[in-house]
Amino acid sequence: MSSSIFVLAETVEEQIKALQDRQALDSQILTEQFYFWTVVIMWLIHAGFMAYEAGAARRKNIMSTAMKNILTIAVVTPTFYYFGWYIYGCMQTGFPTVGPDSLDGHAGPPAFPGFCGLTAPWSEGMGPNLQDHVSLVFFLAFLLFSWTTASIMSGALIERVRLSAFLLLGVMLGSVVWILDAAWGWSSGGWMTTRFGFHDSIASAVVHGVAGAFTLGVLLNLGPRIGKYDVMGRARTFRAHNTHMTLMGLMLIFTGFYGFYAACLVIQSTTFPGWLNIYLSPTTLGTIAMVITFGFAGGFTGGWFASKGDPFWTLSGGLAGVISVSAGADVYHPSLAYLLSFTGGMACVWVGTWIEKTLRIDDAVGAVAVHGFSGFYGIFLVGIFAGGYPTGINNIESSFGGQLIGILTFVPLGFLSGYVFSWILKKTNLLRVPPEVELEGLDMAEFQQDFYPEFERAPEVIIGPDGEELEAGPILLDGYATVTSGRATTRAGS
Amino acid sequence: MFDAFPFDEWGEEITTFWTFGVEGDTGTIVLTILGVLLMIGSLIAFVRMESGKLDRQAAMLKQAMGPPPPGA
Repeated sequence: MSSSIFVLAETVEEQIKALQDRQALDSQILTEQFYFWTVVIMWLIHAGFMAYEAGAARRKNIMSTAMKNILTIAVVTPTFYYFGWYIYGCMQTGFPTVGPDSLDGHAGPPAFPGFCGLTAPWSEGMGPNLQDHVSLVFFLAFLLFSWTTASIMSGALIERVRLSAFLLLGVMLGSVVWILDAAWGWSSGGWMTTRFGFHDSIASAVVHGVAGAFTLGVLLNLGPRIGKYDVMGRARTFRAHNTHMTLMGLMLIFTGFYGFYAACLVIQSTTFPGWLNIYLSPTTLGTIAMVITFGFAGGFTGGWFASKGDPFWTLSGGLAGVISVSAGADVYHPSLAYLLSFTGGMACVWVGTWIEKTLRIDDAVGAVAVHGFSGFYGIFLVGIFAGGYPTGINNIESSFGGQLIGILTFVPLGFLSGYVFSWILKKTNLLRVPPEVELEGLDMAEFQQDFYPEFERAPEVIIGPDGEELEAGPILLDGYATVTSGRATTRAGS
Repeated sequence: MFDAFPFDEWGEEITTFWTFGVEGDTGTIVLTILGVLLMIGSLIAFVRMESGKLDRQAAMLKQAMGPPPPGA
């Protein structure tokens, strides 16, 4: 009797063990599927950026604009694989060190002791591995973030940057600069979080803010498009060749943002109790989905009113609104998100106008305002509205001071790296296309064709500073003469 | 000719070398080095190829018409 009970107990124990193993495997595969589908959805961001920027370009620069977005994938993917991911895995507590205090010679995150070693391209985490269902899809989600940083910069530089210069800048931003700031301030082991409670849950600053700051540094060296400013330094407007394409692109970006938001969370039911943010603090998928939705609502509203109904700035306001509330999206109430994103949507219009008209910096799509300003505004808001929220594995409280440290770290990191690298390209004459090519249009030089061959060319029109429509030819030729003669006529140094 | 090639004999060794094996084995290291070389080479080639195109187009435009008419 007792022996049969003993056998039964052994059998039940084996069955429980088998069920536990199966549950663990199912859980890992669900995690794998989750990140896989976020990656698929995030592709829409890049389809959207391509349409957005190509639509904003003049007809003579359509394909050169679109190719920047496509070739971003060609260069950021391998560079992020071969060294970008290693930066994230191994530099969270600072730069790699060698010595008794280091973790296998690296500065690895304490929450995942073996993570650093899994990020090297020759490691078991970066290739086919039947025992690891998470590392590769997690890498892919971050890779899509990396493409996004390069795409943020892309639109600002259109119609005069060399394609190859953009690709080199994209590598620097997408595979070095942003991922270094993510290691420091957007990871469970990042020194900014574990020491100062820095909180940027859905990457307001670490993706958007830093990319915007980097872009600003590049724009200072790149200079404005020929004809952008008149001799008085007043801004003219180049008419987008297809505003509908631009707006459709923005809507695709917005759709992809739901994947982006979801991919910023961590889920692994056998390891963690539920949904966690990137710092391993609890939240829910519904919380962030509500914030992004109300962020769009508030941002569209703010952008509409601040721009007095301008379609481009209304949609850009939606993007800025979401970015403004992303940093606290894991804890914000939907009403708070609505209110804050309304202010973000309005502010981006004013900042964008100020950058264009007062600073005389030619940011073709307002990326510095929409992403740069709104990104840092987002982490600033967390310091005010989510101060005291415990962040990360050390449960350090978020604070205004901690957020300020984030701003003071990331603004120079983004701006200086963008400025210095683009300055080197400028000095080696690799940054900007020749003025003759810019005047004719980049598509003819790069691809030897017009991309709407079946449609007759309408004379190019420029919107003057007072809103009047002007024939572009004389203005562009005058601008060309200014550039080639070296006679400076504007403070922007065109 | 194909029958003469020792596929069966070599197949397993080739597969072991070129597909992912244990961390840091020779095949993985060789693939990583080749990938890095392609990455660096393509970045250099992107710059050189575009420079050639832009220089030729700019020279042609300068020679043909001085300042070219602006594109529509």
